[in-house]
Amino acid sequence: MNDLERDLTSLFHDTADRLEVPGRPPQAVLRRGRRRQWGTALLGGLTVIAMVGVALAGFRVIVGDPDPVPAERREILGERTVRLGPLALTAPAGWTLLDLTGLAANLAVESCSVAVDSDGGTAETCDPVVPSPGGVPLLQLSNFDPGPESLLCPVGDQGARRIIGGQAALYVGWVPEGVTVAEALAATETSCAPDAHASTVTPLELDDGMVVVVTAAGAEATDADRARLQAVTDRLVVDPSVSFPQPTPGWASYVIAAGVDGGAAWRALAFDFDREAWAVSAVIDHIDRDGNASRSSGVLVGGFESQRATEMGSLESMDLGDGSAVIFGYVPSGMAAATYLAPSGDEVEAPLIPVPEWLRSLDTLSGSTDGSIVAFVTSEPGGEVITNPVDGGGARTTIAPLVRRDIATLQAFGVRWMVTTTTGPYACAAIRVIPGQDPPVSGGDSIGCMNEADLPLTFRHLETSHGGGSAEGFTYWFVNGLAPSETVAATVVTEDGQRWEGVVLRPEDGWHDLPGALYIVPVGSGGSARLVLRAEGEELPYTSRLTLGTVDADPGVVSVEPVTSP
Amino acid sequence: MEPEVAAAGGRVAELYERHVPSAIRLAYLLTGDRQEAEDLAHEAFVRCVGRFAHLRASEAFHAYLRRAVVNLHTSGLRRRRLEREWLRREGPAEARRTAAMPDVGAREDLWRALGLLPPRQRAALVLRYYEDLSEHDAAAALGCSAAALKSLVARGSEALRRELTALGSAAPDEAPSVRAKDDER
Repeated sequence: MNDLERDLTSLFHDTADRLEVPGRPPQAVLRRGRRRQWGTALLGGLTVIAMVGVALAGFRVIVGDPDPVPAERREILGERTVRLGPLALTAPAGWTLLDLTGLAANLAVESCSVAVDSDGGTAETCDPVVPSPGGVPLLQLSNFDPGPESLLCPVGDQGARRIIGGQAALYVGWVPEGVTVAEALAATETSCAPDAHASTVTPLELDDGMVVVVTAAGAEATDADRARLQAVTDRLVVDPSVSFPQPTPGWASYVIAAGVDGGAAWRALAFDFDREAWAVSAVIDHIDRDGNASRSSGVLVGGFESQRATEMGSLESMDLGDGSAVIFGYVPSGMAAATYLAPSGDEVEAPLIPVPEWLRSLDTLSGSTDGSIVAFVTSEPGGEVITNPVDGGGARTTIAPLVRRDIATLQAFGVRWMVTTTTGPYACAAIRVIPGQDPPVSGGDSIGCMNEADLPLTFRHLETSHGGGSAEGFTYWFVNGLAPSETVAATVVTEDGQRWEGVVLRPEDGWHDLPGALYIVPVGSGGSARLVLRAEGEELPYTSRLTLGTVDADPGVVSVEPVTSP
Repeated sequence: MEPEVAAAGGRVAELYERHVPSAIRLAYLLTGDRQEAEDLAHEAFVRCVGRFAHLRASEAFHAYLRRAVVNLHTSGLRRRRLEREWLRREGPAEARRTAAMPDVGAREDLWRALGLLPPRQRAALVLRYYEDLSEHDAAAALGCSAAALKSLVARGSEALRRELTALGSAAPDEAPSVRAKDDER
């Protein structure tokens, strides 16, 4: 480090440290944050509050009449099978398929209120509510691109989309338990797909509610497109005994590609992120064979000021659990073709799927989004993608696979947890309740961790990952991360002097092959705290600031056992 | 009704307490203005909390928030480029000092010189030497390639040396950098 770098580092840290910042959020910021969350802040078993009307303020009424997608798009968007809990829908090639589950997470299906008595105690009561006439929106299929927030059924105070001309569309929603079929049909038939030349509503009962399927076609829709709607409905698979997984709050997304491979369902999504610099992105939603859903960190889509149209885009790989992987990402518009070169030497042409028109039309700050999305499954991850720019030449990018591996069971808070490592830039481990325990524990959580092992020591502030949640009957916090491999002990010391000892899993001991020691500290008290890491005979020179939430459980005896022999 | 609001805001407040103080510090180093830093960090937080509050991976939310701060900073300043050019001509030192700025003592010239840098160069330096990000991660936060990031850092450093010389401070010597080794790992 030269003198200027040293001076800058020192200046930055001194200046930042002296700056007094508010520890508590201003009420105005809280209010805006809550509005942005569209109503319900979901965290474990915390109170669900009905705020549907306010929450849906972001929906737009779109009643325009774009033409059905051009013929070439039909050839590019392939057939996609999306599995969501009990539901499996196969979309025909070329049709626009929207995943609405991110919106669904923001719709409350019950209304709760908390009463405070004179002693300061609280009591919570909840009642089921029907979030919209078409239920909680899940999927929408159409032979045109309606934009991701234009739905066949009205939601909140926003109207339903009209289906006219040559348009044809299908909507799938979930109606929670407690609503009768007659009630659901009456609400849906009178409210969804207004003005459609032909429409149908089909209820499919589940053990805990029902799925409602709405189809609609304009007067000029072709017989072929009407037949496709019927075929999709006929091929819809519903397993009544399976429940919908708790959706992840998010956004409406285009399903670019999807399938069920290696026993896991996956889908590549493209969506608008706040019409900002990284306005379009692509992720894989992954549900493994045990029903555990996970979401990749996403790939940025869209060129940046400094990125030429023919520069390599961003590609990532996500493991599907059986050795295969989904490779997905974005390549700029200047790329004519992309070939996947597997480690065995096999070459496969990677499909280049144009970013959906609606997303391409966004006015982003940082550049164009007129390139293509790549998404395909390979049984041989770890290869290279070779891109061929339209102006000649070529570039190779090695795709490092994200590989998840269960490495240990952890005993803490009287519950067994699974510790799963994941390679990649933003994840090194997850901690999840192991289901099927006696006494039964539901919920659980997945907590990523901060990889600090590879950062220089100078002026180092340890920004730990610490996450909490609520399992049935208790709330918990873990502080975890990846530290230099010489770390042998990790302790969280809280403001009131309590010390919480964690476990350290070192690569040298064969626990994993991550580049550092994985520390996990279950913490039994909230508030301000600091993390202390120790090597043999010395405390490691880190500083850390932690603010932990409420904890109402003692971690008890913390122990860890390998899943496979270390 | 108030208890309901409090419950709904619990997660938001928790995210705020965990992430926003550091975002304000980062924003302050980018802007040099306490109020602007708070506004910028709050705006970035509100944008992120609506979309990424579900992320349990603390570092993921932090990374999105950091990126939002940097983007808002660079885009906001882009819109005010003409104003900045005027300020640069008319009185940069005064224009960039605020009452709330901490006393940086003998390093005031360096702080002042930082204020003269184009926003992306300044952001590159802050991400590298305050956030301690690798070139790869700093580039991701700034939305550019690693090569572009390296160029921004180099040009920013060179501009600082020039400015310090012009201001009469002894520009720090350029010594062989060991940081390059860090980045090669």
